[in-house]
Amino acid sequence: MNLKKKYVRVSLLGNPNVGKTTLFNRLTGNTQYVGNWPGVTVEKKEGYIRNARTPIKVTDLPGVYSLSPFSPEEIVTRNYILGENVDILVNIVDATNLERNLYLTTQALELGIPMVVVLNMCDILKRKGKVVDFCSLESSLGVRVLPISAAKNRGIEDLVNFISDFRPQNRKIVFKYMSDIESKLSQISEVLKSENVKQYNNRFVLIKILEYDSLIISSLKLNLKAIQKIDEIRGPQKDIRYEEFIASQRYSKSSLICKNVVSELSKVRHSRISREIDKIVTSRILSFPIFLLILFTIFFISFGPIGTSLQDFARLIIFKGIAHPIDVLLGQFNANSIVQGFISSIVGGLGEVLSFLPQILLLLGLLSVLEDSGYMARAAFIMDRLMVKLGVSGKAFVPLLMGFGCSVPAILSTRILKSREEKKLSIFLIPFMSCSAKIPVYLVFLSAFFPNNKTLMIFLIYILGVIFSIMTALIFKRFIKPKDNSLIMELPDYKIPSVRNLYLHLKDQLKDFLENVGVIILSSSVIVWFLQSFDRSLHFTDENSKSILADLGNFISPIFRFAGFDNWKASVSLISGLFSKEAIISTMSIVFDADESSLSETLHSTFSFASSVSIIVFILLYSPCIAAIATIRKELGTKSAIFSFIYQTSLALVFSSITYQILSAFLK
Amino acid sequence: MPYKTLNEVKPGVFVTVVNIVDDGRIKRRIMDIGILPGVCIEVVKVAPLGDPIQISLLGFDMVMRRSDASKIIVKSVDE
Repeated sequence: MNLKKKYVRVSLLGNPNVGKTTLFNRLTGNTQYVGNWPGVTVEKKEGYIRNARTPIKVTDLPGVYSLSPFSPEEIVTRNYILGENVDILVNIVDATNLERNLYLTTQALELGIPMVVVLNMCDILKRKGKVVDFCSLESSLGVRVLPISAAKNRGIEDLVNFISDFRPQNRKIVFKYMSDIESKLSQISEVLKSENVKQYNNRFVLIKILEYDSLIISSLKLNLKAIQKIDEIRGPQKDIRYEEFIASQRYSKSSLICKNVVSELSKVRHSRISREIDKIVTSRILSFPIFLLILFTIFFISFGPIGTSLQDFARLIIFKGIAHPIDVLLGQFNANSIVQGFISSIVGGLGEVLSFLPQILLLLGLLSVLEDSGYMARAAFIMDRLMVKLGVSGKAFVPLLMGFGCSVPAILSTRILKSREEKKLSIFLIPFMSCSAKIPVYLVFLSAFFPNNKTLMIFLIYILGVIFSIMTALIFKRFIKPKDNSLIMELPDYKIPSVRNLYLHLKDQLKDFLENVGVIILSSSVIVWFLQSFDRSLHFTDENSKSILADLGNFISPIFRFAGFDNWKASVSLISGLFSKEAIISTMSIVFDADESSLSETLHSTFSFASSVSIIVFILLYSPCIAAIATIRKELGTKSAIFSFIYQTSLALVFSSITYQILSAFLK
Repeated sequence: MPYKTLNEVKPGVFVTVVNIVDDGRIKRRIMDIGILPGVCIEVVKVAPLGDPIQISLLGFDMVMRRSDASKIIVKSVDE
């Protein structure tokens, strides 16, 4: 090992949902979020093993069924492994689905990279009354097999020791194809050897050439003569025939191994319990009522009595426990009135935003529990037929539902979608799923104008967003058409959502939220306070109608004329919402000079009934925050990001104006 | 009729795969999840709105649209 390679580079390879990320977390002490949804790992992740005898770097790769370049995750995984980035391949295999998993193993063995198979979930297999004969599995595969339980943290130490002490050894080819294919493989190998291609001995590359895998062939940069020779060797067979031969031989091999090493294989191994639950949950009659009930329950818990009382409690602590004492303290020290004004407006703004934290965490926690339980895949199953009408598949339902939490992870999770078109369409729909950051803004307006029907009104706002997304989808699907309309998806077993997963998920979200409050909202509060406390000649002013902020607001507000909120205070609040939706509230509490109890009242006197409904419509529809726009740019490019910004904002402007005009006409 | 396509199979019935009639990405995808000639598949259920269908093979439950299933030729296990 040379000096440049400081670490032993280990990669985790396996089918989706076999516990790769759990193992990764166990190995590295990391706390990546683990979902019960195939395709949680869409990017590779890296970590280091502490306390190992040799320094080890671990890479968690997206789960794949095969090393063919069919889906984005397969391409990520394959390119990484073929790119000579790996010293030892850890192939994680689900013992309860050995046959399926070994298909990937048979391919991985052909890569010629040092490998160890770890057999996960042996404990679950045992509970089902079955055992795996490790010795005979080792001799069938020609590599070491180590039993572990990632979930229960068993066998991890053995694996680390094995990797630390690993010495490469020669491996015999244990799996041969029928002689016809084998002879073609050795002929191709001869051609590569004569062309000085160093992978001439790599069975994986040879097989891919035989299958005419264009990515591999073009990466070898063969000359025309060599390609002609290969074409001759391949003969007149159609491409797909080789794939089929090879795939079916791999499967029969996997199946044979499986029969030999697992004792007592029952015919149907799918968990009985999941089937029984599905008899109700995805049944013809009850599936949609249950689906709606689940969604309604989530809303009711988050925004109904439970969520509201949590919020009241948070306000009590923040304003009575923190903000008020600060005010008293400042008064006692006879602080400068500018300083006092500065501190109380910043504390007020931040406090306003923070008081919504419990409610937001509640909503995100419930969505996380739903995902962890395995229900999301069922929702995709029952919703697919409807989603197809919108130009996306049932799988797109998950990113859309996550959009109610936060658009950023929702946009990222569209990576589970197969085609770029479907991904693009879904991303354009996500901003219509009203994100949790907008909740405080709605609630402040609703407390002012609909104090008795808040839960119902919130529900209606969300429904309105969904209606707009449906209309958008119906229009956009004419322009963004997926290439094929195929959906093939795994249905994971139900499981009891783990507290650890919930904790990890919420910890991430809490961190994001606090960073957001800390950086974006604090800095925007400071900027807003500055702009509203000084006039154009930078003199301190008590009348904020003379401030720079008022000038700025007055400059923009004419575009809101038809929407009924063309005052500078509303305008600057909406602009600060482009940085973060929570900032709308912190800005409002500064410009209206109102604290927690008086903001709703102040709004009541500034806005009419019609203009408050119209501004809610505007906030629901207008451009997502900078973080979301940046994520769209990352996933789809600059053009799409700009498009999303313009589309959302103009839609918001048009429909809030229509709302205002209609309402004020009726109310006259 | 001895041969059917998978989308015509009723829930609760076990069938064996005979062939896959598609010559592109979808065939590849179908083969990658283990649907190959000789493999036994159980059609578990149909989604409430009629599409997609839930199938079980190799101890795994999968969801697939009827349009995908129509590319898989199967025969009844008993025949």
